[in-house]
Amino acid sequence: MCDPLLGVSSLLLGGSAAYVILSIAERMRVPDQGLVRFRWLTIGAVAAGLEIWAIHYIGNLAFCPSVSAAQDSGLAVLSFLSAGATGAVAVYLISSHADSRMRLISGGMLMGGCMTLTHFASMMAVHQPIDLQNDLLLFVLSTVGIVALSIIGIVIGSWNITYRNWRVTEKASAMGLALSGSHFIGMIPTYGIAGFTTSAPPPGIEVDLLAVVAVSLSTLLAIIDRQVTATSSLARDSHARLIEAIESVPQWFALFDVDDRLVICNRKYREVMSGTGPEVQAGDPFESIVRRTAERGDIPAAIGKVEPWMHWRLDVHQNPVTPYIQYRSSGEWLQINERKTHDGGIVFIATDITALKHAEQAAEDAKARLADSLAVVEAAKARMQEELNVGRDIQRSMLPRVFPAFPDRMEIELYAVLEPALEVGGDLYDFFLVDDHRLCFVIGDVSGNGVPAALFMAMTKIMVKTLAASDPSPASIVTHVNDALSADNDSCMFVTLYLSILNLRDGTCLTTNAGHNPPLLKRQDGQFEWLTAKDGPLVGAIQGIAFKETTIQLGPGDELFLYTDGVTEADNRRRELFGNDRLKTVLAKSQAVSVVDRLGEVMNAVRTFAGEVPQADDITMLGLRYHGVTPSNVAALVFRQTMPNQLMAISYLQMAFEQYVTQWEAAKPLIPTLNMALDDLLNNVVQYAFPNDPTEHLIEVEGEVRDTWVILTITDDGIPFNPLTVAPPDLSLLLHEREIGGLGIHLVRSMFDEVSYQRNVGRNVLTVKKKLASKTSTTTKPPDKTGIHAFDVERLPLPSHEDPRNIDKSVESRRSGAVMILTPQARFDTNSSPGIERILMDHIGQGERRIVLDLSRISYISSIGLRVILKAVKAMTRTDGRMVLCGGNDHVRTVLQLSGALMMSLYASTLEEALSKVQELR
Amino acid sequence: MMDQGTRHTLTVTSRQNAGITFVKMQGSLSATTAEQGNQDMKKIVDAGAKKVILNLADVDYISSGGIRVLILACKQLNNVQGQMKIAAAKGMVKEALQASGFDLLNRVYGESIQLCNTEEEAAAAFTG
Repeated sequence: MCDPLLGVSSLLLGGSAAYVILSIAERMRVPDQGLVRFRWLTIGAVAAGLEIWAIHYIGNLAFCPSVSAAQDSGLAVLSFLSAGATGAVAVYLISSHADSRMRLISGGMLMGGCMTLTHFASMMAVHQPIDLQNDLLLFVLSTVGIVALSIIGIVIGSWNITYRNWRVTEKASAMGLALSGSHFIGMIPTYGIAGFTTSAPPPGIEVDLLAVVAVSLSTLLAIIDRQVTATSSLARDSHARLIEAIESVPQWFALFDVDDRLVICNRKYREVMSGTGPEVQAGDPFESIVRRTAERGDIPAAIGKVEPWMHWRLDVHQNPVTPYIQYRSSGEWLQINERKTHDGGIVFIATDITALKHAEQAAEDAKARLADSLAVVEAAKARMQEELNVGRDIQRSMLPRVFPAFPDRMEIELYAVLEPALEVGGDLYDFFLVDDHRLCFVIGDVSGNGVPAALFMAMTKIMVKTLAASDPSPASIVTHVNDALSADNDSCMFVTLYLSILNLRDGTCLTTNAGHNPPLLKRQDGQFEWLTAKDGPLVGAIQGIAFKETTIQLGPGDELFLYTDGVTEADNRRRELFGNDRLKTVLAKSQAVSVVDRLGEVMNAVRTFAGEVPQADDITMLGLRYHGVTPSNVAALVFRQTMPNQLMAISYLQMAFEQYVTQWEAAKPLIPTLNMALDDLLNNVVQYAFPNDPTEHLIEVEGEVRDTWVILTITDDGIPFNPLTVAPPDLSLLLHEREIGGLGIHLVRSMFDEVSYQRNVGRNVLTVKKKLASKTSTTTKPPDKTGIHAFDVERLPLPSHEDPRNIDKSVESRRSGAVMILTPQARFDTNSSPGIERILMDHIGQGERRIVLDLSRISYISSIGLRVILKAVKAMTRTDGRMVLCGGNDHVRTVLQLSGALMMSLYASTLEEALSKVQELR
Repeated sequence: MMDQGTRHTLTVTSRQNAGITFVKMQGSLSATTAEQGNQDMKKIVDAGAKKVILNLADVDYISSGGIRVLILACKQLNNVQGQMKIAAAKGMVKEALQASGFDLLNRVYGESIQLCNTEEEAAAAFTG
């Protein structure tokens, strides 16, 4: 070595070369550079090649070759090229992060080969005459050394820059040493191992200066490069971070510049916008990107009308105001937000809201299904409502709702109203004429309301109506209804009832209050007052209850007000009840003229009181005003009288009834028969209905003449006895006294058109009906041959009635030869029989053998009279005497006929006939 | 607080003392509370109560549906030879019970159902 400065320069150049290689390799490591990477490789090859070549050249000069440089320009170029190849290989290997050791080593060998070529080519270019074959071993060894050092250099270079805290400069120094070392090893074949000869540098060239300049420039360049690299890596890092950021957001992101060209986008955006076509790249105009997607059919809204859509889209893009929703053919929903940046660009962010849309859709579907279900429920509800409506209609149709209820009945004014709380309710009212002159009306409240109550109410109402048709007693009706309802009534439903039967002729009102709210009664000139009578508990819950009844005498102008607890228990917002006091006050203040208005006033008062509080219970009211009987109807009065259970009372009652019946011309002929019936039936009751009972009982007799009927009803509270079950007497055996018991009822049954018995609560009720003889038959009826004033009630011997025991006057006795003629006066019944019997028996006892009993003076005969006759006949049979009956009106003859053949065998129609008949021999 | 009030509530409590079950009802015995009342009374009868005094002092309203609760309880008690006395009913409750003839029921049930003024009177009225 002749020039140490050049040697050092060469060494420094090695470091520079290494640095260049490392620096460029580092830049090439940045991914996604495409052609840029190749450019870097080229630059690296040129720069590193130059440096490597410079190492050799300057290193050669350091040995002061004997000849001037570049004698062979061909070899010089070859050395240049191989130096470039060396640099390229080094840059590439180091930049490509080769992990594979084999690749590094083989790369290092390739580089070593290039280096060797460079070295010896440049050597030969300088030292043309050198004969390499002189020392082949040295040559091979140096070649191997160069290759080994190249491998070391590559391995060092491809280590991580920060490996063991090495910085680039340290790494570059180590690599440079390797490169320079390889150069010196290459010198060995030429200059020998110890070929340190000092010779003068070749003249003409300021080689030293040149070397210093080259090294300085290289170093300066390396420093500048270092700075640039540091700066650009900062930029690169922030770029990488930006990329990482936009890739990591779930949205589609794109940024367009002021010319509306794509600056940057994330992969999501790129993939979707590129589709199957060429990849979207930075610099593509927004319009072309979007147009491609539209033309591909990605946007359903744009299919078939790309141009208008594009126009609209660009407008939205350029003037973004609000986000808009885009549906894509892929089924995705995007919410696109576009915003102008401060430099005029546009940021595009699209959020995939498909899931949201699906959720929305699911919500919509659920809503639709809910609507469907609701419709089903509504339909079911409507059906139930419809059924309830039908139920309500049925229930309402059960209540009489035509008013005025009885337009042709002047006696009464009646109005009723039912305001149900639910569709079907438990309240009821009803009114109907049982017959021509009796009105039954009822109001009731079933426990609870709704369908069960409505059913119970319907049963109650029907039962009441059915029973009332044949049962004149409210107490009896309610008792029967109670028994029927309470049988098998496990649910303990019940109904409170107020049931009345009003006799329109005389205003007698029989009522039974079975657990119902007390009604109010207003006398014509008075105020409404409570009717507090309680006749029994509520109906339907407990079997076997005997209900009572109360009689209210209504006078003309009297008014009844019936209601259910819906009235008194209506409550207001303060939870106060309307109550009895308010009801009474309202009624007291009421100036209503008609019953309709009266009820209307009460209803208004209740509604006003309740305000907006919904009605909790059915509200039912029934008002009735009795106007009494109009004068033209006076004769329609009913007969009603009670008598004590004493035989004596019978005749007084008969007399009163006669007076009543006499009002009707057509009924007069029936008076004897009616008297007979009264005598027989009342006698029966007095004697047999109260056994062992010394207390006084009242027997009720009701009678009336109605239409073509005379009706007689006898009611007693004696032991149950149904006379209709008594077998008719064997008329052929009438002589035996004990058989006579059934004769009276036999006569009654035979002579009346209808006989009926009913056992009401604690009462026997016997009703007999007889049809009036028609006018025609009355007129054509033959006059009474007896001529007895039988029908002339006025002329009845009143004293005998006043004192029925006046026996002396009860029978007239006269004698006609051997025949005793006995003529009973007036009647032959319960009260006159004992007297007649005594006289008869006296005569028989005195030995009379021939007796004619002249019946022409009596108006009627009852079974009691018949009994006396039979007794007498029996007595005379014992004394071989004979008795003949004669005379008598139609009634008497009918009775005798009905009493059997034996009785008729004793009969003669006239007195003369009788006189002869009685004296006939047996 | 008179708004919804107690019209829709019923509280039934019971305690035992010397073989007598004291049942206290509070609130109202209306159609709304009837079903609950029935169940509560049935539980008490099912639990073996024989002598039951039903204190209605704190019941301020009774409707026909409520009266049915009492009758059902009576019937259930009757089935097990039990007796029920109704004590301390006041105001409209007492009026309603009387109007519906509850005091007449002991004609049928004899001693087994009775309206009494106080619990003491009711306890003394038990027989057997």
